[in-house]
Amino acid sequence: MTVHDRNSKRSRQLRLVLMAVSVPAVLTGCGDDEPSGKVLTSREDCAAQTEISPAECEKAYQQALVEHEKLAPRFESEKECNDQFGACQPAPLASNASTSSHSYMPSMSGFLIGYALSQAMQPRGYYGIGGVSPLYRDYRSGGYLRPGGELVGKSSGTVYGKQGNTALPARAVTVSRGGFGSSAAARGGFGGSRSSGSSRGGGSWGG
Amino acid sequence: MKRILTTPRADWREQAQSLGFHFHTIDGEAYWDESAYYGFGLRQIEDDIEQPTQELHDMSMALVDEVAGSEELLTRLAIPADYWDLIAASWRQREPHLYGRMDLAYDGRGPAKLYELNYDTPTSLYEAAYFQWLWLEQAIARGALAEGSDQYNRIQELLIETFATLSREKRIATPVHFAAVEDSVEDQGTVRYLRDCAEQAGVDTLELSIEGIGLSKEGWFTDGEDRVIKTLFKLYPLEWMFVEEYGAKLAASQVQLIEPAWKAILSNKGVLPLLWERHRDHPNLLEAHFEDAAARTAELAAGWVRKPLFSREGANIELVSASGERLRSDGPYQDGPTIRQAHHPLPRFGGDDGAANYPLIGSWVVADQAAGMGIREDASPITQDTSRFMPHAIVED
Repeated sequence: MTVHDRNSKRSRQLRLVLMAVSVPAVLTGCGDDEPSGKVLTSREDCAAQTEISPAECEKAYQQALVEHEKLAPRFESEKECNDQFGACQPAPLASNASTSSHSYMPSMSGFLIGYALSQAMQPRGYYGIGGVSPLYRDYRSGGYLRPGGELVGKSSGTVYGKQGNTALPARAVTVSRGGFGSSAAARGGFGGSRSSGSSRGGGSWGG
Repeated sequence: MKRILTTPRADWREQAQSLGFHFHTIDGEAYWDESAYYGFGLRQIEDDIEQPTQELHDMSMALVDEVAGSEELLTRLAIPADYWDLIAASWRQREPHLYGRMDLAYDGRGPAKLYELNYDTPTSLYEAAYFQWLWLEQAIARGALAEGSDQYNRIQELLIETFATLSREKRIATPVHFAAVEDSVEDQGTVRYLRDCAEQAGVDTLELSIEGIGLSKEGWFTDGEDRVIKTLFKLYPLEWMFVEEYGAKLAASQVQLIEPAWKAILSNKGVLPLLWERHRDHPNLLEAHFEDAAARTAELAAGWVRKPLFSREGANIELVSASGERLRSDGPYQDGPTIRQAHHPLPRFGGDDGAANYPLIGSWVVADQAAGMGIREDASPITQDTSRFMPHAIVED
């Protein structure tokens, strides 16, 4: 780390590690027993809890419903679905589905609100929301499962450590690309060229 | 404040090449120019640049707090209603921001005047933070500048410190993806430099192009190897992202943007009249009004500059000087609402052979601290095509 001399307006030592040579990076770890999220069983639960802003909680519920439509576990057999979750129904057909045969999915029986990584400056002591996941109650085990089958907990309420982790997974299959960048292409680029409204810009037009 | 001629280092081009400064010359014209430097006194730096920068920044942040929750003000800034929730949520959660640059007109005497904030995609960072610093150290080492010479520049140190803090407090998810437009050497260089700072802070980083960003069926953004993008540093205007195909996917993607969505407020030229309304006659502000307020703009008859709300750095500007001279710059932002700001000309400094030079101060803020400055100089007070980056030094008090 650099050293700053109180009598100086500039840093005393600076270096570059990446622009001159390539250097491997260190990665941070995680995992502890602090509250990391909350399992709620219904929209009404939002009004009955005090950890999350009720308005944010409502939004999280709506988001969980959207995720549910996309990510709920699918079963070929209705019976198989009901054996594990109950209240199963035909899944909506994907617009790009290659077959017309129905699959079955359970209803959303709860949702997980994961707390934001940083709890700095949250108003009125509420936890910030880091992410949301729909949950499905497995009637054989009694546990709340994520869409991927991972157990979050056996009951609703506060969860701890990794169980409240709603962070994104490391990988996902890309289905489209190139949805950003069209403005730069249409305008002949953002930055770079001095003659096309450079991002460095002259700015000397002032005013 | 003086413009002082000096002999360039014989090997500065080689040094620039080996240190990743590939845009030191652009389209055959020098961009980095060390044939002269600007010399300042310590009082000028601390009283006229650093302190006002901090104050203007604090005023701007207070303004974000007001605008983020106000439909009326978001409407005045012509920010699309579809993104109000995203902006408000990112502010409510105090999503971390990294940096910004404010452009100031300053002649060494009067109060510096704020031209505009570049708080979403500011560039000229590497040359200000690192290459300028190296120039000073080497000038002192070879005796071209006195031992006690200094520079207002803790930019890189604070960038590294900020990345380290965000990582330690787990306010960013790693690895952090850094993206710039594919074919811009300059923007790629800026992004590479920020990655360098992040890596020095122990933050794992990856690089991709803005055009290379992908989408998974779950609605998450992905890179070229199907890694999910959790934290994205994008050197690309938020307001462009908002209107592009993937803009509507931002909210559900759970991606953490740097700069965050709330920076869309401060990259909007409409903050200039809003600041003026709230701090009328502040010594560092120029009078400014929305152009829909016809009665107000009439007060600027003595010389004004028209800027589109969404323009960037010198594009689509129209200027009428106090003497009635009219000038226009081209650019891609023809349509849309505009503001009018009182015209305050850049100071003029003589060069060798009596040539005129017009310096513009870029005053940097890192996280929430005034951090240092860089100067870009033009041969004309009205063109943007010839700007060069000039180093500065603190040489006397």
